Parts: sequence; structure tokens; C-alpha cells
Amino acid sequence: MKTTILAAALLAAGTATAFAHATLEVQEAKVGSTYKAVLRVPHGCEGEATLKVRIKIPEGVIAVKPMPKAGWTLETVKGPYAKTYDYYGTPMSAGVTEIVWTGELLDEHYDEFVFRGRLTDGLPVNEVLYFPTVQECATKAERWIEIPEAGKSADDYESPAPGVLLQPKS
Amino acid sequence: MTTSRLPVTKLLSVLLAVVLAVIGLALAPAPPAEAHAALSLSEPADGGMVATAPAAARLTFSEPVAPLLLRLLGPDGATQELSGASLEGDTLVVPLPPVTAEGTYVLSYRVASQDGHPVGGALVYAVGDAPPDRSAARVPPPSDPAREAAVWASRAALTVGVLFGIGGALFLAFASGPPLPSARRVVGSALGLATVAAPFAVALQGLDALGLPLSALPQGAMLAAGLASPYTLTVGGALLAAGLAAVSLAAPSLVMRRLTGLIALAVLAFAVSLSGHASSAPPEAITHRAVSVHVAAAAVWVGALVPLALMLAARASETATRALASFSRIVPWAVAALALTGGFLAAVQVRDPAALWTTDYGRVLLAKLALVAAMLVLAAVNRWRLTQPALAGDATARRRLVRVIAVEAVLAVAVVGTLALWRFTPPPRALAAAAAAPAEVHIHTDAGMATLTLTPGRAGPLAVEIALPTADFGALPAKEVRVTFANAAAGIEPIRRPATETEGVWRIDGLTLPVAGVWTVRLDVLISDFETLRLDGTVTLAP
Repeated sequence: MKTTILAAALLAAGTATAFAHATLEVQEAKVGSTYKAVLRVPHGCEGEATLKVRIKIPEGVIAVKPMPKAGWTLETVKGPYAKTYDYYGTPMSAGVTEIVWTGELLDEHYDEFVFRGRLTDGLPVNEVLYFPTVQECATKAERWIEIPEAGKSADDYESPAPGVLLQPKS
Repeated sequence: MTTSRLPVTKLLSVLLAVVLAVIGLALAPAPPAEAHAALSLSEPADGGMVATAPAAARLTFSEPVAPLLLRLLGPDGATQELSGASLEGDTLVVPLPPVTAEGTYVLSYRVASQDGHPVGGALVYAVGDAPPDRSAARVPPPSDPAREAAVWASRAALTVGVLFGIGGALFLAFASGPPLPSARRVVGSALGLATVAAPFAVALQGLDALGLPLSALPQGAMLAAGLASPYTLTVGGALLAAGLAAVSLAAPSLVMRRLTGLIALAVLAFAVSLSGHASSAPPEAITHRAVSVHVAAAAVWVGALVPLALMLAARASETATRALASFSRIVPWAVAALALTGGFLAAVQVRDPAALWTTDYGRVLLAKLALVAAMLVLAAVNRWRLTQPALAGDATARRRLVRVIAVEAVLAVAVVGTLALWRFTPPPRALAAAAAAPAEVHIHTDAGMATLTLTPGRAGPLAVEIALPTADFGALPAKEVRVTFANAAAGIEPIRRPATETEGVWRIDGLTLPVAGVWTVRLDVLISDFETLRLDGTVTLAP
């Protein structure tokens, strides 16, 4: 009986952890707007402290600027976009494609990572735009990179990428 | 002379009756023809789907095979014979014709396994995006009882011929005095039987290899297929040995008779180790020699029976007595060698005593052992009850001895008839190997594909090998591979394991999938830091 209860408790605990995904605070945004993304990191890699947080910027999100963070080193990876976008009259064909914060976040702590970027007009509306995110720890990694197939939602996956539902331009 | 003619005809008619009776018995059960090279892997997979028609099919067997007949049945029902197959290790690479039609294809194969026995089967796959239609799969050529009986009869006749002929010639060479003409005639006819049976054995082997009916006997392709089999080496060697025995029989000098007789026996012993179930069983270095010794000992024992009986019946008193004395000196050694090698080979082939009565192979062995036991009882009666009085000149004992030896010879023919049935029964060793054949799952999606091989393909501890080919058959540059096995029906929670890579192949060792049945397999392949490829499939494990 005791073992059953213990097993049930462990199972419940395990399930709870699995459900605490890395997510974006604001889950809906209009295309053609500037979006302030707040990435919420709920835990480390199965007990290990997070040493690096990497966010992949999807195509169609331009002019990205990450917010520096006390105690964390900030780096960006720049690269060409798939096409040239119009940014307030200025053609823009390259920019930040990945943001990397390096520091330390204990497994028992919670933190947020902030950046902003322009959601260009051409992005498909009424669809979720995903920001694949990787937490790197000393020996393990937590990869929030699963992009749900058509007809499925993030709830169907164990490690879904954080996403924002795009709304039509008002 | 006239006195000896009667027993010869009598003996021959008894032998003929026994052969016919055994043929009759063998026709009744006619076990299915299947030998022991088993298909373990194929690309395209059986029951699988491929987006575009593959340029070649790859069939991996449990041992190297030789292609005999390969046919592709298209969705339009047309059959095409495939040629140009090549062997890469245990894998047969079959070039496929360029086809564009989508639908179900059946690749029917018939191959010869290492021991010369043909294996047939078919794999069904679909080109396009619809799963294959199993009903399109035509069963490979059915087993033909008439053909199998003919195969059996030709083999039995050849074996009887060489054992009685070569063993007989050897006995006559070593028995003192000039050979008795009637004994010479019988031994000569046995050699003649072997010579006549040999081409039939090869041709029927080819017929069986191609799965053709008996009516198709005179065909070049079939003879070529028969000649390509390792069994041809054995038959050729046996023919050579029979020729040497004939020389021994006719040679003028005693030294020559003895020498050629011994060489004939050695050639026969070597020839029989070149093909067959037992010779291809590991450890081959030992089983080869055991088969050789076994057959040589059988020839020495069995071959001596008919000439000895004839000599004793002919009342050529002095020489017959000496022949009997040397027979009872030598044969116990032959019997001991037979028992030793036979016991060893049976242990290798049967492994589990229960297989003696649960498999066809085991039942044939039991029948053979029963007949051999009867022979041994008669031999014991001869040795301890009749030999001494006969040597002492007791005429009644001598007559009875002749009769018992004749029965012994008849039993020896029955033993040969029984063991020729082994041609149709795979040994339990091979059955066990087939059960341990790996299970395979091939997953193919637009995004990528993977082939998982679970060895052995049954519930319990197993190893998983994962190949991740790209569309152009290169290796997918994976950074990490995780496999999740789940069996919701059996109430088993997902079992997740990371795979480790060595030289492009990902492996999981020390995994246990506890129950048989259908398992869902999920592969998470990390392609880059932010990209993962997910592949889902199912695999069926045998109990």
C-alpha cells in the first residue's frame, strides 16, 4: 500500500514537471506589430541548473532586440533572412536569428528572458508562430523544439516549442 | 554357381519390396519443403511503402544464398523475371526494373541456401502513398508431392547404391580369396543403381529448386539450377567414388583392389561433407568430419552385409568363415564410430530433447534410431549367438546367420529411406535460428525515414539498431536519437532510451521489451539544436 501511494505521488510529481513547459507570457499577438516576448523558464534539466538559454528566431520576425539581463552574458547570432522585409520603409534582409543568454539558473528557481521583434505582415494569421528554445545545462539539455503538426496542439507533445497565436492586423 | 543364384534374386526382390514400401510410406505425409536459410531483412520491407519505386531490392538472409528464380509481380498483374542479382555478404541485391505505376508489387524469390536446399517466399510492398494490398500477394509455387517423392526416391536410391556398392567393394577387397561372382554382381548392381540415380538426383534437385512440377523435368534451366547447388558436388564425389569402387571390383591384383576400395571410401566420405544440413551446422570444422566418419562407417558396416550373406550362403566354406571372422572383428569399430558421430550430430542438430517429438526432423531421427536399434539387436544376436557356432562349422547356425544378415540389410535400406526424408525437414537448430530472426520496422515519411532492427525479434532482452538513411541513401546527420517503445494494450508505459552512435549506426543495448505483440515505436531524431524529426511506427514481436 505504502509503495502504491509513493508510486502515485512520484507519478503525480513527474507529470507536474512534464507539464511545466517553457512558454511565452503573451500568447496572442497581431501581425504587423512589435511583439514583446517574455520567455518563462520553469525549471532546469531534470535537476541540473540551466547555464544557457538559446532562442531561435523564426522567419518573418525581424528587427529583434534582446533585453540584457543582470548576471547573464548576452549574445546574438545574426544571419540573412529568407527574403527582404520592409521595416518602416527600410529594406531589411538580415538580422538576429538566435539569442543566447549565458549565466546560471538553478533548477529550483524561475526566471524570464525578454526580447522584442517585429511580427511582419506576411506571417500567416490564426496560426501559432513557434520560437524553438533550448536550455543547456552542465550535462543535459532541455529542448523545447517540437512544432506540432497540423491538427495537433502543443498539449499533444512533451517538449513543445513556445508559441504565439498570430491575430489578423486590426 | 546355381546354388548361389537363388539367394541373390531372393535378396534383391526383398530389397525392392522394402524400397517400394518405404516410398509408399513417404508419399503419405509429404512434409513441406523448407530449408534453413531464412529471410531476416528486406529493403523495401515486407508490407512497407516506398514513395518511389526503388532501383534495387535488398534481401538479407540468415546465411549466404544463391538466387534461383526472382520474379516481380506488378500492380497490373504482369510478371517479370528478374536477373542480374548479386550477393553482398548475406544480402542479395536484386536490380528492379524501372517502373512508374503506383500500387502493390510482389517480389517472389526462390533461393538456394548453403546446404543446397531451396527456400521460397514473397515480399509485398507498395509504391506510392497507399499501403500494399495483401490479397495481391500470390503464394509461391506450392509444394508438389510427386516432385518431392521423386526427389526423395532419387536421393534414397543414390545413398543405397553408394553405401552397398562402395562398402561391398571394400569388403570384397579385404575378404580373403577371389570375390564370389554373385557377390560381385550384387555389389556391381548397387554401383550401377548409384550411377543411374545420380543424374536424376541432380536434375530433381534443380526441379525442386525452381519449384517446377515433375512434368517439367527435361529443361535446361532446371538442370543448371541443379548443377549450381552444392549438392552437385556431393553427387559428383559419390559418382567418382562409385567409379573407383567399380575399378576395385574389377582390378586383377589384391593390392590394387584394396587401395582403390579405400580411396573410394575416402572420396565418398569427403563428398558427403560438402552439402546437407549437418555439414553446414556450426562448428563446421567438426561437423564436416563427423559426417564423413559417420557415412564411411555406415558404408563399412552396411556394405559388408550382402556380400557376407552371399558368401555364407554359397558354402564356400573356408573363405566364408574367414570373411565372417574379419567382419566380426571390424564391424564393432564401425558401429562405435557410427554411434559416436551420430550422437554428436544429433546433439548439434536437435539441441533440445523435446524437439525429438515436436519437430518433423526429430520424428525422422526417432524413426531412424528405432530402425538402427533393430539392426543392432540383430547384430548382437549374430555376434553372440550365431557367429561362434557358424565359425565352428554349425550349418544350421550358418543358415540362420545368413537370414538374419539379410534382414539386417533390408533394415539398412529402410534406414536410408528414412534419413532421405531429412531433405524435407529443417533441423531444430535452424528452426531456433529462424525464431531468433530480427524484427524490423521501416518508417518512411515525407520528412525522413528510419529502419529499426530488433534482435532477436521476440519479447525479452533485445538490441536495437537504427539506420537513418536520407532519400538518396546517405546517412541522416543526426545529433541525438531517442527511441520510445510503448504498448498501451498491454498496459506498459512508454520505455524511452537514448541511442548511441557508432559509424553511422545508432544502437540501443540492454533493452527489454517484456511482452509479445504490437509495440508502437517513436523516434526522436535531433537534426540540429532547434530541429527534431519525429518518426512513428509499429513493430510486432514474437512470443
